[in-house]
Amino acid sequence: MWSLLKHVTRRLLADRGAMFFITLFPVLMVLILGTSLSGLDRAEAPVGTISALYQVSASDPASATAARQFAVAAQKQGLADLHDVKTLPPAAAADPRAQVADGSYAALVDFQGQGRIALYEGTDGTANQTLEAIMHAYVNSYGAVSEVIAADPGSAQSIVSKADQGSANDAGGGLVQTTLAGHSRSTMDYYAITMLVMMLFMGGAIGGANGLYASRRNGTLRRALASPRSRLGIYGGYLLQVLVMNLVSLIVIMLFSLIFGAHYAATVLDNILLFVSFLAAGMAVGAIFIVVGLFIRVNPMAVVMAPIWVLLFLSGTMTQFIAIPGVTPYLPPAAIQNAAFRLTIFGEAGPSLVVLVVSLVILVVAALVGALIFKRKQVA
Amino acid sequence: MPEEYVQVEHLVKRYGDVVAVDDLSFSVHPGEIFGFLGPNGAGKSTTINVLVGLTKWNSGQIRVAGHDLAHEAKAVKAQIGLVPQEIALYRNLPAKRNVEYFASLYGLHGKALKEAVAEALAFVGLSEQADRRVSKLSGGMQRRLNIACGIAHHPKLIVMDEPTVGVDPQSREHILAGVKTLRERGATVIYTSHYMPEVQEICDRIAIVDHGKLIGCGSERELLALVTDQKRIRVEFAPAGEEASAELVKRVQLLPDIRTAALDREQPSLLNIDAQVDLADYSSILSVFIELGLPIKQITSEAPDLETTFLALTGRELRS
Ligand SMILES: Nc1ncnc2c1ncn2[C@@H]1O[C@H](COP(=O)(O)OP(=O)(O)O)[C@@H](O)[C@H]1O
Ligand SMILES: [Mg+2]
Repeated sequence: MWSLLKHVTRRLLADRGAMFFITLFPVLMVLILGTSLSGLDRAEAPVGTISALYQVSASDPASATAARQFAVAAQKQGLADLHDVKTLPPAAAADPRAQVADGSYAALVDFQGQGRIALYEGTDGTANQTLEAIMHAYVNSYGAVSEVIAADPGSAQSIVSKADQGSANDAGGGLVQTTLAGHSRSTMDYYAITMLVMMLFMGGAIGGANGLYASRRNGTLRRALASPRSRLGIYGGYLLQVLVMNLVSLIVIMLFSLIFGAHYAATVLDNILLFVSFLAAGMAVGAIFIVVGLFIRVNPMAVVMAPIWVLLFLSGTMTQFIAIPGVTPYLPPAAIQNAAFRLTIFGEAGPSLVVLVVSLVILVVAALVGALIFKRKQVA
Repeated sequence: MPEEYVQVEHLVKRYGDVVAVDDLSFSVHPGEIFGFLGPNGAGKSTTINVLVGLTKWNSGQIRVAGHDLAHEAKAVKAQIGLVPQEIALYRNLPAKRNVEYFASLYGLHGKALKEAVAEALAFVGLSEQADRRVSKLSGGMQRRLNIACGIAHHPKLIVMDEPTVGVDPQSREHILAGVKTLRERGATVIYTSHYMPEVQEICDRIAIVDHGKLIGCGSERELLALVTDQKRIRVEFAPAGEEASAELVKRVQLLPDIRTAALDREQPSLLNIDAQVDLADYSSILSVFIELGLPIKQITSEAPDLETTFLALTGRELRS
């Protein structure tokens, strides 16, 4: 076992292509995307019309004036095409948060003064992402602080419990307010997570499929199978290979993004959960693609990469502005990434625990299926 | 040790409609180099793959060192060192890491492993290249490393599938000498090739296969005896009259161990004689010439070789 681990690690370290792919490549992506896009949150995808409420609750005159100029400023910056901006007399509006909660409006933007902007989100994921992007950009340009408040009833509970720690307070009406885990968020935070998700899928797929494909092709699997080692043990070696690969890339990307100022979860425990759930997800992907590697006869780089990139693209992993209603939320990368956001931004462990458990189940099932096929099939 | 180290009986292996190995039986004595000879597609690699436990077979029985492959595959595999036909190495890893890993699959570890790796590399003459990546080694060096990876764990049975394919003459000689050394150290070797001269050079016994069938098996001598028990002797003499020539033919034909004798159609001063293969000395033939006063200019004899044997047995050239 130990010698196999050493061998697998040596092989990974000696494979310059793989090393570039799982370390330098994502780090470069983080650097390029994180730095070049941070002041430049510009949506490229048409999202249609989003009806949001816009409220100035600031009481000091300076903040109120600044907030009233938000629409003009946002328009000028090209952040969004805002029109039909109506000012309603305060008494005319029903409780604006209730109108978000019941779906009449997608969200409520509340200018609270002293540079604080609260975004009360509804349940429309596309609208939320879009508004978050606009607010991020606005915040970056004007040095304000933004807060995202979700209307998701499921999330209320854990956030309410955070209120006891003083970092959040109940805003009522199914809408809960929280600071962003105590940090003002940057695009780096976003890209750190999506980069991890990207690596876990690409690394898992390539690590799994290519590990098997390469050893079938270069004949080293034949040597292993001709040795007295059990077939199951040899198969386990491929899982070990994926594990090492996932560990290396997760650790490198996390450390590197931390150096560049990314924030993960607020507590050590949450960060461990994040890491473990990502690792489990990466292993599940790897186990699935080991099975794929048992069957494909062409280089996985050619056939595995394209679908993975499409999947990641549709999941909004490449850019946060892609979100296809009815599709994106159900794609595994999107689900994993949203779970991670809920954990790192809101301190909600639930979705990440679901990711962890589902990943482990998939990992076990895929590993067993793979083992069965590996034992029966003429693999080399 | 059992009498036969390897025993293959009525082996059949089909790939769909293709019968790759067709009722093949042979056995290998302990301590010998056993040649497995046949043209491309004869079924050599398939037989080897079954023997080393890589491929399932349709019917037949295989025993190695007294173990039945069907039931004790692990025990059989532990005896064997495989040198595959293709170079099977991790190209990114240094030479010694390759040998180390493959030897470790056979349970070697620690100091014993280190020593075995160094010994195997020295054996194939790659000690100096131990730390070089495989991708940086020449083709011949890779071939030698391919062998080192199959023998480092000191297997009792070494199975080599065309280990000299695409190798320069120098490396080939190195490899062939190495195989003989392995035998001297007590290993049994199964050596597959489609190249007759090297099999003749190093093998104690040879099996000839074609289209998955065993054509013949035995020592070189025994194989030659399969196709023919005669050899041809040609005697060129000074041109003589028709009468003398006719008398010469008549007298030579009457000699013991001579099958036929006839004058060459195109060259009447050349006598072609087919004799028993064990006719060792030609003095009786020569005395006829002397008696008739016919001066001999040249005498040659042709013993059949394995190449012609193969042609005779299979009806086709070994190398296509
Ligand atoms: N995996 C396979 N699938 C189908 N046919 C095969 C396979 N391996 C070998 N064969 C066929 O079996 C026959 C014997 O091949 P092989 O054992 O490789 O011959 P050799 O090693 O003597 O050149 C050939 O006709 C070859 O096409
Ligand atoms: Mg072959």
